[in-house]
Formats: sequence, structure tokens, C-alpha cells
Amino acid sequence: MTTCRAVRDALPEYAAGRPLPSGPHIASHLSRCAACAAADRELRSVFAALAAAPEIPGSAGGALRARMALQAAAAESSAGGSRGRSPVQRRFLCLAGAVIGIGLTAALVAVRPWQVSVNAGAKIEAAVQRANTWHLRGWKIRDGRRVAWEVWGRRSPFLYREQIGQEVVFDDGRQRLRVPAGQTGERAATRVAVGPMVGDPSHSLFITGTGWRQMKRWRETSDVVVLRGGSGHGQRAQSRAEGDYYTIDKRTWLPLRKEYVADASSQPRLASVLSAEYDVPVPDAVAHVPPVTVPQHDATGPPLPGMPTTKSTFTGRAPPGRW
Amino acid sequence: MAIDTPLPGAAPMREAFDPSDEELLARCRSGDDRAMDELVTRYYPVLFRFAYRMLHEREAAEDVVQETLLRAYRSAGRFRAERRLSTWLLAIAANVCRTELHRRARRSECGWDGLEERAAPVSVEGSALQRLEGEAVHRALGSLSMDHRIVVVLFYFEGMSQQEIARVCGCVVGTVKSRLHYALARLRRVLAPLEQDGAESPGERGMQ
Repeated sequence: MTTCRAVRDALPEYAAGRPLPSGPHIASHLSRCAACAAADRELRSVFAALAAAPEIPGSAGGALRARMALQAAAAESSAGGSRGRSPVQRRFLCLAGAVIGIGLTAALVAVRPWQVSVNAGAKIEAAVQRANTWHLRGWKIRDGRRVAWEVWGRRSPFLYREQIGQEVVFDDGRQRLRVPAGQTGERAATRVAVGPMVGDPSHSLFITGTGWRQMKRWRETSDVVVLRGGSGHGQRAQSRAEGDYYTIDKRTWLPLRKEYVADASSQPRLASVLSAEYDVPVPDAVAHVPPVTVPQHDATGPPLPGMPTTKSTFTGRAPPGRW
Repeated sequence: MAIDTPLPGAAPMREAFDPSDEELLARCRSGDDRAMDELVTRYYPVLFRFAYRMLHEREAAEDVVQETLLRAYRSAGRFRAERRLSTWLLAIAANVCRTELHRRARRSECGWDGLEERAAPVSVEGSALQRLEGEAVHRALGSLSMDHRIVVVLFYFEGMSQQEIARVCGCVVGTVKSRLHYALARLRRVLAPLEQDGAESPGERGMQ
């Protein structure tokens, strides 16, 4: 005799359609017990709703990065293991390492595997330049906190919009507006008249498509190639790990992801990540000039009456007392 | 894209190199690149699925899997052969997800989390309704406590038994039963409006 308690215990598995030795007994019980049958129906309705859960997206290059992280950890621990060796052993290992290193370097220079071939660089450049819109989304560490980071761009008609946390830069090719985070007392927004331009130079890789030919190949699988650039801030990399890493889809030759590894204190850490998608529609909310709720310095209008014109590329106009 | 394709040269290795979980972990610990490839090939998919269901963000899920594998590597000595490696890895992943969710809760005052919480773009046109339903399911899962969400994800999406979930969570089966009961009851309440919408006839839906 199957009791209600025993049925309720097994009901989640039963309602989820899993094979159970007690399945026939449960079915028989449910045909006789209205309360348990109702519980069964409720569970099935929950599972049916859960079936609408979004599909899991692909993890582009994630497995490759996990492998690389494991290999880096192994290299780190083996380097740590050398501390217990005698000075003679260490000297010998250093010498052997140097010999192997020189040999490998010579071999690698001979076949030039570090430099992305001009052909591959040209493919990436062409693929990026074919895209009319791009959307970069991710995060970066700012003031010790991880903040959301999003960039929208459109080649024609030109649009560039970057948001880091609450800070927004908007450029539609005629005006460039920078709105700082909106807390009271912060700097004012600035609006200047400009031609099309973009922000962070590293983003221009995604936007103008140039610069890929100078990248170095770091890792490669049959699906993706990971390229490595220098420091993301245009400075010389501080260490072996520091730099920008770009994951390229070898089917489309489009960059999928950009990561910046900071290593200023010999403790490599991921400092920013951007994932890219291309030729997606730019949302209306993004394509329009964002609202400005802080004081604004507007340099897009004509000079105020009586103000002398200047020879600079743009004309400035600011309300008295704002500067 | 076949994202979990092993590194070049690793594919034919699988047949000749099929060590036990314990041996695999020991080889990883000794710096064996092949073993690391094998570890990632075997367990990346399940860990990524779990982390994505928990966090609903691809990049964060990838970070969780990477952190999980690194922690496993560093504490390989604590793995006991009587446990399944998948169970042990999922237990680590659950802890990493907890940390990430705590971190998200702490920074929620910035008010811009909605952007990061968005689902990955759905490229299939005409699937707006499906997407809305999917988002509703995600929100419903997000309304559960971390412990309850872990249990639901492992039970429903990973098809694990309550005994296996108890091993992952480090608790007794009774606790899992209780968590699953309350979690499913809450999901039932939260998802009820969705079910009513879905119960409309195709004709009614077409009239709107």
C-alpha cells in the first residue's frame, strides 16, 4: 500500500518524468487520491513553465580560457616549487631554461608564429569594416569596483555611445556629449561640436577595424584565435601577462571578446571584459541624445552677442559663473 | 561554434587517455597539459550550464567556471576518490556562484544591474513570445534564495537526484527535499500568471 507521504516524497521525480521503480504504484495512488493528484498537477505545471527557460548561449572561447588559466596556475606553482631547490640546482635549471628559451625563440622567430599573418589581420580588418553596427558589452574595474560597460556604434549614419557605470559619452557625428555620473556636486556635462570620433583607442579596433595586423597570436584552436596586444592604455606592458586579449571567431573573422589583464602588482587579474556582437539593430533609447540632469557646458551654439569669434575648430559658449 | 573543441592534437587523445577522475586530478596537479585539457573537456559544459542558470549572464558564468577549475586545481589534494568529481566541482561552482550573487547584491544600489542581467541576445526572429516566457522563468528563478535556486537548477535542469544534490550541497537529503518543496511552491506562485497567459487559445492570442 503506497501512502500519501511516500508518494509526496517521490512526486518531484515522478512529475519530472523520471523512471522510478515505484512509478506504477504512484500512478495507481494518484488515480485514487485527489489531494496527491492535485499536487502532481501543480508540479507538472511548474516543470512545464520551466521548460520555457531560455536556451544556454554558446560560451565563445570560455573553455579555451579555462585551459589557459589552469596552465598558468600550473606554471605558477612549478615556479614556486623551485624555491626548495639548492642553489646549484637552481643555477642549472636557469641555465637549461635559458638554453631552451634561446633555442625556442630562434625557432619561433624563424617561423614567425607570434605575428598574425598579414592575411589574417586583413581578414579581421575587412570583417570589422563590413559590419555597420557593433555592440560591446561587459564590465571594467573602476575605483576598485566592477562597473557595467557598454558601447554602441554605427558606421552610417555615425553613432557612438559609451556608458561606464552612470557616465555616458554620446557622439552622433555632429555633437559630442559627455555626461558624468549624476551625483550632486560632480563635474558638469560638456557638449561640443565635432566630426565623427570615438573614445578609447582600443575600441577603434572594433570600429575602424585597423590595427589588427600589428597584433600577436597568443593561442589558437580550430574555432578561435586569441590575439594579444600591449597594454590597454597605450603604455608598455608591466609584465608577461599584462595586456589586451582578443578572441577572434575564425569562421567570421570578427572579434568576439576583448579582455584586459592587469598585472601591475605581479598578481594578474582580469580588469575589463567586453563581448562584441555586430549588425544588431541600435535601440532607439541608445540612438538619441541622452537627457542631461547636471549643469551643462554647451559649445555647440553660435557665439553670444558681442563675443569675439575665435580661430579654433569649435566655438565655446558657457553661461557666466559656470566655469 | 564548437566552443569546447579540444586544443589541436588533443582530439585523438581521448581514446588512449581516459583516466579516472582521481588520476585526472592528480595529473593536472602535476602540470600535465593533456590532463588539464581532458578536465576542461569533460566538465566545462556541465559547469557552464549550471553557472549560467544561476547567474543568467554568459561572461559571469565563464568566469565562475574558470574560478571553479582553478580552485579545484589548487585544492586537488582534498578530493576524495569516493566522491564523484562532477559533484565536487559543482559544489565548488555553487560556492563561487554564491560569492558572485552576494557581490551583485552588495552593488545593487548602483541601479544599473538590469543591463548586465539581460538575457543573451536571441537571434531567432519571431520568437518574442518565447523570449518573454523565458525571461519570466529567469525572473522566477531569480526570486528564489541561492540555496533554493541551486536545488532547482540541479534537480530540473541538470536532472540530478535529490541524493546527488545533497552531496553537492553538503547537507542531508531531507534538507534538499524541503528546499525543493518550498522552491517549487514559490515558482508555482510566481509563474502562475505566465501559465494563465499561455493557456489562451491560439485564436485569442491572434486577436490581440
